[in-house]
Amino acid sequence: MIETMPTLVVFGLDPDGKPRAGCFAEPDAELAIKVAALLGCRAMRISDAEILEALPYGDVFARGNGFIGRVSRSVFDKLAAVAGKDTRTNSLAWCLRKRGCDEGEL
Amino acid sequence: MSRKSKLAASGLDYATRFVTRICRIAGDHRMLDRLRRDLARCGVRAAVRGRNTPALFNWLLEMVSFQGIGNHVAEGYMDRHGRIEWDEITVLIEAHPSCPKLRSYWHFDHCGYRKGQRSCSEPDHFPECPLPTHDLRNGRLNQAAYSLFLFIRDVTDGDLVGWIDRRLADADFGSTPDRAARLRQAVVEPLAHIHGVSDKVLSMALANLLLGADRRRVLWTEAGAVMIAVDTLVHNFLHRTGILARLDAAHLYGPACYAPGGCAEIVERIAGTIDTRRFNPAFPANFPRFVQQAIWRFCAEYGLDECNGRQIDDRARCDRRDCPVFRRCDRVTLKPERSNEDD
Repeated sequence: MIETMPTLVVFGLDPDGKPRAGCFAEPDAELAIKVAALLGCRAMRISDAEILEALPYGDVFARGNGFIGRVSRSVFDKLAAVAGKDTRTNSLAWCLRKRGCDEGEL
Repeated sequence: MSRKSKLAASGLDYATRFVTRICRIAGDHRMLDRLRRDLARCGVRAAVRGRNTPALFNWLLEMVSFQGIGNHVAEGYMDRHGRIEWDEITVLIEAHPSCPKLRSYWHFDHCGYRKGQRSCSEPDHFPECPLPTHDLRNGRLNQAAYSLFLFIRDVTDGDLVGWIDRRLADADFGSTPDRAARLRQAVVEPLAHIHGVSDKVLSMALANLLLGADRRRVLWTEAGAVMIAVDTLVHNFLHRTGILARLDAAHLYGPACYAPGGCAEIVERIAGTIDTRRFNPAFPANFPRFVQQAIWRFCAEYGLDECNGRQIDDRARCDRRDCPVFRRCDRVTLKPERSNEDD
């Protein structure tokens, strides 16, 4: 059986404190992680279908707030809870280690 | 076949016959040779071969500088006030200016620089900001220059040629019906996010680059061939000739031209029914860029000067009997005068 990679999700608060999040297809994942680090967002991989369904697709080529879309506070809180559960495997640093680099390389 | 489908089929048939005639009259049958020669002359072919990103940036930015104004005016301004170059911006950005928007491509949003007002959305950083120091024709071009620079530096990691190669390779999976659109979107969509660069100018610049830069890069040629630039001349031609009406695709000039069912898609559909190898065996069979350029050359004052607002009084049906396609044209009025009954 082929094991599918969990989906990359980026989330954070915009300059106005509004929650934003987005999921990214695999070809854009590496760049999305780089952008997340630059914009001070969190990146993690999740496979929870219910959460993923509630997320808009992000756009790695969009500038500013266009990178990830607005989401409701409840969705954001769920993401934060997932991220908080296991920071070792869900944090940005984890994503980077999976790529074989560390945060300093960005 | 429903009545609507029959009408659409006959509309496409009319459009194909009409535009094929336009290609015969106005098509540049030596387009590819000419393009390759021009790109060789301005160093772009060598820049692609040598992956010389600064040279490509300088060329792309010059193309962008022509948008929204006559070529001779734009060129005259650049000759008098100078051009902005990659190395110049590199030095300024590497000095770490204080404005937070210059941190990366993704931070560069809503800069808001206005040349006339000497203002921007980060007034505290304005006095030290390098962006306004270049004397370009307007503030939007300054923003376009920095946005393009940051895109190339941050998104392509400074290797524009390699990035285009990868984007096209990733979009190259079999000959599905949407192959042309997929290849085009793979390059155009990301670059369309660059501030201040219109769809039209982007399509024109990329079409030239991809078609003429390196014939050994087969995917580049294929993608360049399907990039269409729609300006008012092309849109108005499709309207005046009745092609938009026959295809039930009437719309105003603007973003709708690039939306589904708009001018770009219509030209692509028409081009899909014309094998352009009949005009030059070296052409690709499907060559929407050639078809679109033939329409433009037929209309433009600097081309055949046949179908434009200077030749036609758009308040009434075209009466130019000496037009080579007068008898086969629907001659739809572009701007009909409102009758008293409408008031």
